[in-house]
Amino acid sequence: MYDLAGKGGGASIVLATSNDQRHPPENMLDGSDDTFWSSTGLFPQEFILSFGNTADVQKVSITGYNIRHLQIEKSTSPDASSFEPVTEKDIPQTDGQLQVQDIDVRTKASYLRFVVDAGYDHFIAIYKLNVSGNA
Amino acid sequence: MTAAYVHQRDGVVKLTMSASRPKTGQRPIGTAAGRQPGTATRLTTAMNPTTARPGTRGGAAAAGVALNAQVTVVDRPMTQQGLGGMKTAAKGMRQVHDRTYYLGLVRSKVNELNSEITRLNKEIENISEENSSYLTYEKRAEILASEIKDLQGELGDYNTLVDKLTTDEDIQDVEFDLNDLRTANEREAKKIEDLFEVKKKKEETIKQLEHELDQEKRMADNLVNDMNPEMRQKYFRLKDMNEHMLKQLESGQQELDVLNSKTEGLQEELSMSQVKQEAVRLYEQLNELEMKRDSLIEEAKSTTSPAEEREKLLKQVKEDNQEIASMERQTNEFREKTDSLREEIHQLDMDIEENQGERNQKYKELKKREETMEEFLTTFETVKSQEHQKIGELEQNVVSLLEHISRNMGRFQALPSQNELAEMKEDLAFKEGEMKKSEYTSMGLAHENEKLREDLEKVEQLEDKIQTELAMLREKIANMEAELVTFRDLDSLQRKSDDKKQKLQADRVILQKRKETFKRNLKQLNATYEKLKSDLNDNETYTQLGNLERKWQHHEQNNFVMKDFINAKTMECNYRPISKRVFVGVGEYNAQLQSQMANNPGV
Repeated sequence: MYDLAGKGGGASIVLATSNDQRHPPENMLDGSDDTFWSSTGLFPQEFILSFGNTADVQKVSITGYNIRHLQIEKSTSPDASSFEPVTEKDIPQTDGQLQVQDIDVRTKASYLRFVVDAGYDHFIAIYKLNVSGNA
Repeated sequence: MTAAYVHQRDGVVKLTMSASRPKTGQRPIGTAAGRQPGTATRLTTAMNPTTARPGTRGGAAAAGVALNAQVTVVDRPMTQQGLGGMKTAAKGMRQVHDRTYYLGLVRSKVNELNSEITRLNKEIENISEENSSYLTYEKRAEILASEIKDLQGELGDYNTLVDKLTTDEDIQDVEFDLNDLRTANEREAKKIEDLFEVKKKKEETIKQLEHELDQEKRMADNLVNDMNPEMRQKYFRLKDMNEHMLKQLESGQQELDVLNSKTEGLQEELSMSQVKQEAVRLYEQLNELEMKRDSLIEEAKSTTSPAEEREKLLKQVKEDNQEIASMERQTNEFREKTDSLREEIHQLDMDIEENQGERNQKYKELKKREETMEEFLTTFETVKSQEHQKIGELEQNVVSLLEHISRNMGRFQALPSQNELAEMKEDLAFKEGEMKKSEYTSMGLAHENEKLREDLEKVEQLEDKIQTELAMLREKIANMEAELVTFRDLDSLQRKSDDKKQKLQADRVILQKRKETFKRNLKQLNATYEKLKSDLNDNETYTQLGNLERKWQHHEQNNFVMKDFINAKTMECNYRPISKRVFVGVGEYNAQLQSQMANNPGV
């Protein structure tokens, strides 16, 4: 069991609905708490994480800010299509601190889609994404 | 008349006529025509005033001619124009006038009369019918006229209403007008009531007065009744006389009026004709003269005998003469007196003139002398001081001139000779030329100095510029040197660029991948969108909603337009700012007027 989304894990972001030059979506996978991906306004926002092959995903741990509600969907098809909902979660507001949330997934997937359909402010930020599981 | 004329003109005819005239002239007309064959007699019949025919036609001259030519007279067809002819013509065509003929005539006339009567009757009937119908028509016309009046009033009301509507007047204004009219009506009604009351009061007072009058009359009757019989008789007699006199007065007044009108008419007539005016004038003269005559006659009557009169007159003449003589004497005396006095006055005037002439001249001369002396005395001091000053000045002048002369005398010995003078003059000219030249040069130098100064300023400016440029260049050099360090290490640069290239390529790969996923995702989303759209389109409520929405939109639009229209109309009808302005203007005007009145209350 190791971090599927970490460096060398082979995971990559294949879709993000916001793309700021200074805060690209890759910032979520670089393992650093100092860099982040930022939305550019409006909801819902989503990004798709690709593992390359089908992987056994156990747990997702997300570090972000101003996220109110998060949905996670999965797809096992080789192209990113026909997603099925896995779980969803309300995340409580933290004032001046980062939100750190562990979410149990326990499923097999080649793609994971994260949909943020509500935030506590106009913009949200995601600092770090850890996906633990087996390839 | 014609006959007499003839006699005067022709003697021969006169004879013939005189022979037959007395007989024929007095005979009746018919017999004369039948029995007398003579031409002369015929003429006379023609001349007879009873027939009057030829006389009136031919006139006097024609008759004369006819008498002169006797033969032609015989040939004339006198029977046609004579009275015999007339007789036959006057008689009817029928020779036998029996009863039946006349009966027939009468019957026909009666028939005609009957027909005429029936015609007239019919006409009368028609007229009566028309009269009756006319009455009814008149009534109807009256009714219709009243109806028309009512309708016209109504029409007027409607017209005013339409006017108000077209002029967009506010209902408030109309109500305001209505109230005004109502109040005016009430006022009028009150006035009328007041008048009616006044009238009633007057009537009451009249009644009261009548009552009083009756009472007075009764009292008078009572008094009369109470009187003793003699007095009563006297009273009645006087009363009768009074009435009688009153009647007389009335009749006299009427007569006077009639006479006045008559005189007016006559005067008008008089003014119309000149002859009558003349007559009036003459009458007046006549009256005057008559009056004079009367007075003279009276005088004559009053005078005594001529002898006494003469004596009286003589006496008077003597007295008058005496008086005149005394008066003349008196006048002569007065005249002499005035003459002597006049002479005396003249002499006195002469004496006075002679004396005054000589003395006056002397006096004037003396006065002039005195004046001149006085002037001299008053101005003597000032003139003296002036003269002294003048003398002092002249002395000073003399002294200064003497000093000048003595100085010049001293110099005269040190003067140079003529040659020396010429040399000196040349020297002077030369030196003056030199001086001018040096002045020119100094001016040129000043010019140059200014030019150079300007140049200096320019140079200083340039120096500033150059220094700033220098600073910039130094900065540039520092930059370049810093850059040189980095560019010297080509390997690291290469590496960096390679790294960048790799990163960018990796990015490209990632982004391409993302693009694909995006595309896919988009497709899916599009598909779902289309599906939802078709679902929505299929949905009945959606279509209904759409229709309703469209309707709503339409209504909203209508609403908006109406609101706009209403706003525009309200803006149009908004009289408040204007009224406010008007009120303000009126207030200002009033204030101005008041201030003006306060400033000059006399105006």
